[in-house]
Amino acid sequence: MGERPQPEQEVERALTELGALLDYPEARGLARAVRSKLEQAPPSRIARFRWSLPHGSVATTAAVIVVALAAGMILVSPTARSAVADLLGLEGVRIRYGQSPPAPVNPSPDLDLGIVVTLAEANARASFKAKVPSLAELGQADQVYFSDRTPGGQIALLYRPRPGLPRTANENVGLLLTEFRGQVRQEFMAKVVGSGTRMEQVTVDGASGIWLEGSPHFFFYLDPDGKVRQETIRLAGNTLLWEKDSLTFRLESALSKDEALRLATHVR
Amino acid sequence: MEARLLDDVELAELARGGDTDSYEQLVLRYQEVAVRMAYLICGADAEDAAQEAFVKAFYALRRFRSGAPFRPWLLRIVANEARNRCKSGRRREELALRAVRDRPSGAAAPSPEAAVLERERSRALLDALHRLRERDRLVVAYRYLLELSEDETAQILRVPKGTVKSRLSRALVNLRADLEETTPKFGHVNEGGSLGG
Repeated sequence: MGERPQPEQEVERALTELGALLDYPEARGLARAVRSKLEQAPPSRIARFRWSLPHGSVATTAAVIVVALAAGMILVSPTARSAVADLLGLEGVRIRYGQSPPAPVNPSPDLDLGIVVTLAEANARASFKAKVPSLAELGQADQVYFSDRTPGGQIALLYRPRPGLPRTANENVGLLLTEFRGQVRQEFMAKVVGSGTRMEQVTVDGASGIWLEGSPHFFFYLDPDGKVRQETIRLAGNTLLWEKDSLTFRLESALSKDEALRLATHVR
Repeated sequence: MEARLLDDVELAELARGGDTDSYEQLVLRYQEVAVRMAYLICGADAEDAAQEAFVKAFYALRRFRSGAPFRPWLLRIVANEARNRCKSGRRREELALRAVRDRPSGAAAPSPEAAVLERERSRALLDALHRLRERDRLVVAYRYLLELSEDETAQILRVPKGTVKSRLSRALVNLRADLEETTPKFGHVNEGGSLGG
């Protein structure tokens, strides 16, 4: 815009100044008002699709969609995706099907887990106390990490492969347990599931969870400030996600579903 | 390294699935520009217009083309809402300058004389803006007062970019001519360098 004749440039400058001097109404509080309007609306206006989904087996519904993805029918409507998550019944959790899942994670020694700390340090730095698996055969974590990548912090416990704990895609890792806080009303997570991924609703010590087998890549969650963030999965492996006591747990390993579930019930 | 925040399109896609948390993030990002736009278009009911526009946009997300820029898509809905409210016989108000003491923080306080001149000049400019044809006024408002890009302005007005350019040039010429006629002091004050830094 700098090509204008001099007098017009003056008008331009004056206009730019004027923008800062106008008596605009206050916009704060709008988000809350909009949200409450949306939440008062009849649910049918948002979730019409839900009615047409079978209400029977959750696993069947999920399987149908995974099969559809595998068959290349990628155009599952977003409403359908969210409806599946609702059917799964996991409080505040959303499963999201990626239209074009990124390439599988290439495991590298650097898992971007933050700094190496002792468990006591991690507990001191995070806004919560880490829950640790109390299984005798698993033993202690080989490494504890703390990262402030998300509000409240994230604690990760890394276990090297050992008898009963096969290596994952990363030869130095047998199991990775990540814990972080998702606050307030709806702790919301979504997981991008590529074709060939099996998904199943599970119960972990009374809390709802999701078992993902195959190649999960990344997921979304609501941080304690209410912001939606994307987190990349560390290992291409089987993943058990569950929520308890306002914490989100992510257990990544090469363990079978039953083994992972058994382990998870000992995370206290 | 932080876990990255989602961008507009990702949030819009999640919101389209009915997720109000994601949508709230979008509202927070754009509530200010939305209210300002509604104010510039109608002068009255700006908050209500913006609020209603956000609600309508939520239900219209199904029609949002994934991958397209979200802000102009949203602002077009805001503009329509504000204009319809004005047309439907509700009051339309002249734009107003804020009280002198409400200067944005960080701005150096001008001398009392300069402040008076600045106010007179801004008032004159605002009056001249009101005398422009509506479609010219909107281009000026979007580009300079809301600081939207040429692309965004073209998208919101549904006109080619060339039209935005030509309307803007014409509007600036008209504004200058109007000001020279009605406010002889305008150019003089500006040359004095006492305003705007």
